[in-house]
Amino acid sequence: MECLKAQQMLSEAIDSAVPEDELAEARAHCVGCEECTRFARSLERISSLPTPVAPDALVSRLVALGAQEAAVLRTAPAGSPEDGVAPDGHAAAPVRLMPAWWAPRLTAYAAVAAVLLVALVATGIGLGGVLSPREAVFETAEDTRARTDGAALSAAPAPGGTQEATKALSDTLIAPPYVVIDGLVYTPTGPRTVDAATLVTATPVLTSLHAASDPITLPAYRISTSNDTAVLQLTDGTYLGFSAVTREFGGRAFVLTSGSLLTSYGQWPTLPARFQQPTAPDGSPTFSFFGKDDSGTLIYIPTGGQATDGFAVAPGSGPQDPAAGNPNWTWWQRL
Amino acid sequence: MGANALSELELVRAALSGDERSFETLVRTHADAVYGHALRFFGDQATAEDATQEVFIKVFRSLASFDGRSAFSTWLFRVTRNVCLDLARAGKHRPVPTDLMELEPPSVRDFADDVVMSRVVETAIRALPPEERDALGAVTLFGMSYEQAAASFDVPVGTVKSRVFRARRTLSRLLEPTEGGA
Repeated sequence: MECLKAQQMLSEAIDSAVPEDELAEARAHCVGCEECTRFARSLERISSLPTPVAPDALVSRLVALGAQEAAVLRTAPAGSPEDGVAPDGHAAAPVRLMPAWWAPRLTAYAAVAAVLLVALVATGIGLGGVLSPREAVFETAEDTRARTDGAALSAAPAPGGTQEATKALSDTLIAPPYVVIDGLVYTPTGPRTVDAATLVTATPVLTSLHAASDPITLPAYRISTSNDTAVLQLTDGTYLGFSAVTREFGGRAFVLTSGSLLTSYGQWPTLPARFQQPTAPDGSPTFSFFGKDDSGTLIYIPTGGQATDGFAVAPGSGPQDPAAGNPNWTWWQRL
Repeated sequence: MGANALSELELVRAALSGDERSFETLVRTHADAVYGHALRFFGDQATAEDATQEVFIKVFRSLASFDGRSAFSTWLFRVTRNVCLDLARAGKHRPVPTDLMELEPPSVRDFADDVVMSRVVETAIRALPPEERDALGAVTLFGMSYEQAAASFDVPVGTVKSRVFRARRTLSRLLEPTEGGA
């Protein structure tokens, strides 16, 4: 056996099972080879040494962080109106950034803000009326998203607020500009040129876009080089680009789906028809709590489902969440 | 999925249900590996502690994405490696450079001293090429098999074996004891 082969065998034997006869041959080689004997001696010595050990104080801190996270998770799944915790109430509460004493206060403040906004809307004033009546009157569909986000930011249920307030708030909001292409929800990115070679024909889309007129059917295409991009061909032959509405889970993108056709901007995506509407805040009987996505929003899976294939998000997600303002449960599938 | 992977998945699911003991078990089982990787990456204890804390915060928050299809240590190793790289890229922490030329071989007496040799070996490991250091760490700190490490690095198994071997051969040559003092 050559020296290199013998040394490789000795190294590999430390980490995994190797054929006995080959290891024996390598050891026999070492007996008569000074270089390999030195290597074997060093290898044995290095392998016997202790590896770095995390300081006790660090481990204690980590254990404490884990205990905090466990406490948050214990309160989260119920998410019932009675306990005043929205479905993703704890998700936006960073373990390190927010002291524990602040959380209940923030919950109370957010709840008050939500109730105040609902009261404003109910009296016909609304934020638009308070801040800028003229803009409110002439608001276009393209402004919808910004207004929706602004309102949601002002009165977001997360990390506090009641579900009733969330529902009332959602009912008053208009959805962002969405279209549904092959069951997936997209939002417009603006006019774009396309390379015909990259177009993959999708099911035509029935939509009026932002217009108040009746919806028409427009040819739809996905872009083969970008799996989160699609285009609609407008009546004048130009193309309008769209980007899939996504969220991250485990570092992977999941796209929003809709069980209903959204025939104009401003309509909320709904749960696909194959799912029974949950009747409880914890998703039952259709879903059960699973964990959190990468942004900390709580996610739910159907019985026997794998979160890596798809998951549901409850209404009332935080203001920065891609489902913010949606009064419906939403389903997100692997992009 | 082996029995061990199944128990890891059960542990993760228990943690996700809010079981404090499961979080503690995860921390106590894996803290040394994460800290060891960070220490070898940054070469500085305080920075390694910061990085370790970042890793576990990230792990706690994304625990739901662990589906048990790979070993927990494989998933944890990937998170650890990415956190260290992100911290370095963001300029928050920079690896402390180690020059192989500055390493002095241990004396025969030091060679027999665990404390001294551990310090010398750790310094030498920090000076290894990153791909060799990572491969060695994946196998020896995180207890990954060659196959798991290969999947994690997205390279053939033989490449991982070569990297680990080259790392050990370099260490062996660097740390060959001398009769003189050092």
